[in-house]
Amino acid sequence: MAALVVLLLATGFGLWRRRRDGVLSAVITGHTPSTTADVADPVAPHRDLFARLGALPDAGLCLVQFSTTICAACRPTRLLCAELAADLPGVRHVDIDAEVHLDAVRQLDVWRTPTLLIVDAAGRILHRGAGLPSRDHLRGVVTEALAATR
Amino acid sequence: MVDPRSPRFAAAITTLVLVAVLLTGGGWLALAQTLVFALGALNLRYAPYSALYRWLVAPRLAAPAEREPAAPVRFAQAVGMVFAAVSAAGYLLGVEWLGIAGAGFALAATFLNAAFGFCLGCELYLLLRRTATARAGQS
Repeated sequence: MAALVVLLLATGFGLWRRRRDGVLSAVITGHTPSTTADVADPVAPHRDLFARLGALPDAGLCLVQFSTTICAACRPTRLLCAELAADLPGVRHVDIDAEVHLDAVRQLDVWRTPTLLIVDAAGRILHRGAGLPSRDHLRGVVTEALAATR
Repeated sequence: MVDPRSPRFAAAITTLVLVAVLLTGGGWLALAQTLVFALGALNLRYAPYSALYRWLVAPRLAAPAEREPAAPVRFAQAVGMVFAAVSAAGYLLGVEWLGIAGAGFALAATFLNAAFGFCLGCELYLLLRRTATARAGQS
């Protein structure tokens, strides 16, 4: 019966998605998925873009969030990131309206919202993930990345 | 800002209705659900299942710990409306596979929302915006 097939497939997808949602993965340098990367700087091809967006930290890290108005998970993510930025010195947070910055969305391969990028002062993307992260997971990843910048 | 339990409750009822549509091949039921979706897409105050929640369920519960914005919920209703309309047209015009496909997609999205809190707007909206502007030749 079609209903059963749909429910089974949806359950499978839901479980798979739940495992990956909100998980920030390390970005392997030299493997950036962008199509318009600055070839002169393969390690941090998006540095200028982040600078233009106001998402390049002077030192430490910037939590770069992409959101839209049609996104239930974006507000809690924003609150979580703002809380961390206030709590941890050297961590900034920037929430970018994906609809207004579609060029950045394309360059950075953003498909879902919220998408979170952890960017260092050199403009490198250290970690990225989509979906609302858990407080502990985000704090752990950020703390570790922050320690590595020192 | 809405009580987040209301859309989940509505999604649970909608799941049952869409399963019924698939089990019975009911074009008129699909059409009725299309109208329900349309009302919700317009204004959540008009959404019948949400009204049911406010009338029957909410008085028995404590106030919600937090509220969520209405826009993503209305977007999901609009998407559901499109799929349900396709399903209704399919069944009523005798194109059964279309009826099944439309109801199937609507059921998948609704069930994911009800069971997993899946946010359709989070997945689909940016994709739609990217596709729309790419086609229009903008950046």
